[in-house]
Amino acid sequence: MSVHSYISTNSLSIIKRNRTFYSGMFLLLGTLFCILFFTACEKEIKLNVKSNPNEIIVEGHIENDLPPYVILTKSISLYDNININNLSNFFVHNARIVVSTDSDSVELVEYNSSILQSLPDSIAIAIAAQFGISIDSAAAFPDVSIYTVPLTNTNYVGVIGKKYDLRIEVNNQVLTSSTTIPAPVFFDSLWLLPHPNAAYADSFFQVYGWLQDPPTMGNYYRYFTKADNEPFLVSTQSVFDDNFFNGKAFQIFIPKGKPIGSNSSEFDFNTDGYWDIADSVCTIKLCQIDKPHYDFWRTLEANRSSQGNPFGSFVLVKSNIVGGKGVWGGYGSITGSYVRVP
Amino acid sequence: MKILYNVRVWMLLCSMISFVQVFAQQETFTISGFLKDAKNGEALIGANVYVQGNTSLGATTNLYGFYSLSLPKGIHQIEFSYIGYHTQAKEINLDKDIRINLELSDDSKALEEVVITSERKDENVKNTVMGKEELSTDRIKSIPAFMGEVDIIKAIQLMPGVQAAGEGNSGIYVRGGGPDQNLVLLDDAIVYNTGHLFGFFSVFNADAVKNTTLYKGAMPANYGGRLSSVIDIQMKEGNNKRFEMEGGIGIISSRLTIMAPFKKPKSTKTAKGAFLFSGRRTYLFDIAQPLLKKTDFAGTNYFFYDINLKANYQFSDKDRLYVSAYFGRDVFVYNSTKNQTNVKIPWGNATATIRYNHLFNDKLFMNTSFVFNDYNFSFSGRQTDFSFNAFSGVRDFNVKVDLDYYLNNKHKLKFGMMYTHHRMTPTQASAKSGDTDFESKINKRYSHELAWYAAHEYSVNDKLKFDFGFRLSLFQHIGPFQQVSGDNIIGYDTVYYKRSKPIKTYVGPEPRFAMRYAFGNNNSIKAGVALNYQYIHLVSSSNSTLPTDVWVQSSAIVKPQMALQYSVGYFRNFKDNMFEASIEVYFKHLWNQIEYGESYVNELNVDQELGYVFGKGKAYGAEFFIKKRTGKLNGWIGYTLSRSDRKFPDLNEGKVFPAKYDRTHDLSININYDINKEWSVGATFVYATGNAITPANTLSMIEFNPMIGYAERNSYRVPSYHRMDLALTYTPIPKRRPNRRWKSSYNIAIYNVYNRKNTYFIYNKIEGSTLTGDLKQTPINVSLFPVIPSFTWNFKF
Repeated sequence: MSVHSYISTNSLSIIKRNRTFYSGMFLLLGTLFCILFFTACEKEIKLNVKSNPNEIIVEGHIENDLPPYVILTKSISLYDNININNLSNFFVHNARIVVSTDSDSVELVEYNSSILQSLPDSIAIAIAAQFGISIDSAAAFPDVSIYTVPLTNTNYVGVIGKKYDLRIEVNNQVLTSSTTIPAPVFFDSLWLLPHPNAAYADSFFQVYGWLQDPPTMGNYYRYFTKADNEPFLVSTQSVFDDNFFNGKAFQIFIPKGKPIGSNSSEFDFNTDGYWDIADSVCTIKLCQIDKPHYDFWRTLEANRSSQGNPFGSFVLVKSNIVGGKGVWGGYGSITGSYVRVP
Repeated sequence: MKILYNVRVWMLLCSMISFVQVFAQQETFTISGFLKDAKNGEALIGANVYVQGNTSLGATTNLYGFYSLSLPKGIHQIEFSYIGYHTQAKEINLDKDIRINLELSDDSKALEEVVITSERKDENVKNTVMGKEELSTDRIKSIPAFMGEVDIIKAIQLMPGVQAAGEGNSGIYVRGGGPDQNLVLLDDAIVYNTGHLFGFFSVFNADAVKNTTLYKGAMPANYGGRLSSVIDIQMKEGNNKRFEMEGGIGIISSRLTIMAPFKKPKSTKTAKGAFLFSGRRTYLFDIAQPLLKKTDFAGTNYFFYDINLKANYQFSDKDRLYVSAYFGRDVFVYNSTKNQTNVKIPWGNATATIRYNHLFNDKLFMNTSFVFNDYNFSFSGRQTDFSFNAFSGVRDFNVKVDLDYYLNNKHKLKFGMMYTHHRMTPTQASAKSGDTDFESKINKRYSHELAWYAAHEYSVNDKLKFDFGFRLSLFQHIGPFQQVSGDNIIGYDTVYYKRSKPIKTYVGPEPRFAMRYAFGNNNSIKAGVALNYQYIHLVSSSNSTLPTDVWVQSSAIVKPQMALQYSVGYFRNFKDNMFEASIEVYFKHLWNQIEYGESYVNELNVDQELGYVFGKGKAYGAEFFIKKRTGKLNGWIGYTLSRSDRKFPDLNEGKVFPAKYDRTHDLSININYDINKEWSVGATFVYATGNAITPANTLSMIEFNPMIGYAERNSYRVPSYHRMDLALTYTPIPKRRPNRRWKSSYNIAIYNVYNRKNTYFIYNKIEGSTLTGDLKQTPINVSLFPVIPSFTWNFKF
């Protein structure tokens, strides 16, 4: 843990994620504390804590021009190790899932990731990329199960401005939720800058965008980045709102997302958020989300970062699922790219 | 709340009855005056004046050394005494009101002999006050100090009913209440943040402090605004007799204090005015500066300092003026040239107090105080063309009038009022990115806080004594303010309030009652009830308070915190006052307690109060205390058995949970032994039940990254805390000139002698990833301070 990393998390993300800066303030002070009391001693211990696993966790999304999808998993006891063989134990099968608007509805069907490639490209690529799996490697995943539209109804896609209800029936439980797809907003322009530290300028560069926030308060953003043909990736802090900059136009640093499953507690100041010099097409997807959806990501990201912070308190994730945990979120997205000229 | 109402009515009635009884007295006269320290002319606080052979006829000096004792006409043997000082006796033929100003000299010359600490016999048995502890700085200095820094707050932590907020921390929890529920006063000025460096050191430089009083039970009516305790710290006044200098060099800081009269008095006389200057600064990182100079981090530093100033001037026998000020800062600077980054974070308190004492007559004493205090935190950071600033703070202006009316030896009245104007600044941020400016729009808050009080001390007879008090407090949130409500779906609605326009008003009737019944030889039973209101609050997500924590005031959303405390105690002295012992039990109801919601995440430009949830609490416990006051071996043992629970509809699914201030067992032992006149040793041992924490217990996956679930709130206890500290002090007496003024002393202290690895916090180390299928979490126990020796050299001139 270095002072460096905290400073960088702060300043890189300030405008983009104003709250990061605020928590960065604590972290910076925390670092000072660590330096002063380098005598701190760490020891592995055993905690005898009761847990209540097997809660149903919903991860479902609907985006403009894309079909809805839902991943159903279960919670496990914290100290159960996860290995590649029991990954499948996470997934909840045989659920009845219905997505509906005021005028229409669709019942989702369950697919295994190993057959993702057999789906029509329009669904498969989009869905795989959606949660960070490259279509080529998807087959390598045993038993990742996804609920999405049936092959007979592949044109059921999200429409901007609509409200989508979700109803899940599984194991005698009923879970419900509802979300909206807000009108999207995108950067007026994108540009590149070299890495600020000359020593790294040969290997990395930065991407900036010019954002005009809409005049009304209450815009909630989530962004994804994609380099060349990689999947869309998110940063450890992927959401921000316009509380601090409502209606303004300004420049914003766009950090490159981290590969999924990477350890969020590891942070390299000089490389994290920077784009690789080999990346030639820098694609950004900027989504508008509604407040409950935003609250989910905001609290989840805090839930992850509050782990092990002696100055912070634990954060429970705010879910918009009635009868369960997780999220049902709509994305109003626009995707744009900066193509680098070699 | 019905109980509350009954208590109020009953207490008012009692109060009225006792007022009526004030009349119909025999002919009496009054002895009054000031008691001072012979060595420097400072007022002696809490010194005793009593009639020999009748300990129930007596008076105690107030904060300014004033006493007033009314007695029947006739000849009386009067004794004047103060702990650690020679007692003086005078025969007085009382046929008119008389003034006796006296100077008492301490026992330092007689150190070789056993120190006879003279105190009015059975003082702790005879007064009505419960849960009060008085600590002289000299006694505090004999306690082994962490890194050699003598710390008043950490000495208070060794008292029963008082718990340390955490390892090495100067935050305190009193009788199951939070750290914001303690009223910390430095010469009448509220100190909002009492810690340097995350609370590892308190802001009070012991060299500048004369006396510290802690009230943890039924608070006297002249104090208010907090629920749990009062820590009233009096700065030294300055030496009215001669130039005096003291200081010290320790491993992390150095100190220097200068005291002198404005004009040197003739021979043994006392000058009319004197001043004190005291400063302290750390230099741990200054030493590293030459090493950093050539690196990327040149200019990175951390230090803190404190400055105390005080002056007093006596215009006449009846008028005296005190001016005191405190200024302290923590400063953290971070520079990195390569990454074009600079950050500066200063924070700290400033206070200023002007006090004017006036004696109207032998019985009526008045003090008027004007106080300014300020706490602020600021942050400024810059990286390339991006900059960010944040600021938060509290600023008060306060005026206070207190009157002591010594009616006769049965009745003593205290009454007064105070007014405070608060300005609270929530975190206000501004940023600049390229050419665009950003600014947060959270309003500053302004308010009036007013209180009137009256207290009547009534000695019915030798056995029975009552203390009736009533405080009426009023709090008003005032404009300018703009209230925004709504969201982007229903639309926003803004209401503007003009300057000084009342927005929300709260009124708090606060009855206070205490009584004592003395019996047998040196026994007494005391009882007390107090209702307190608290209008300003500090909610912290960590165990202690952080410099970034923001004080908030009551508003339409945040109601005043309230506490009703009942306490009963049995007091007994043994062996001619060599031992003092007591057992106190208390029960507290707490209302409108505040915590952050379970999903709260700090956000800029969002009012913090919107993240609060409210609930109630209960705290109860028993405190056992035994103190050996005299002899070469002296010290105390305090043990507390207690519980503190909270119930919030929005926390822990509405179920009762232990407060983070809950400690089942808490034991403190402090011993001091004077081997001879040059050597002394001190030892401290503390044991406490571990902190209640909320452990993580479940794992689930979102986007193939972990989402952590938690067990019931505060359902897990970290291992118990215990630690022993030792200190050895050597004060050489020069053989040739044993009376020379220059005195040196050397102190070696060892913190955590047996290197106990106490838990500071527990976190889960995450290894591997879900994607590679080897995610593993391991709980890690982090302990902070191993055995830490320190060395301090102190001098006095």
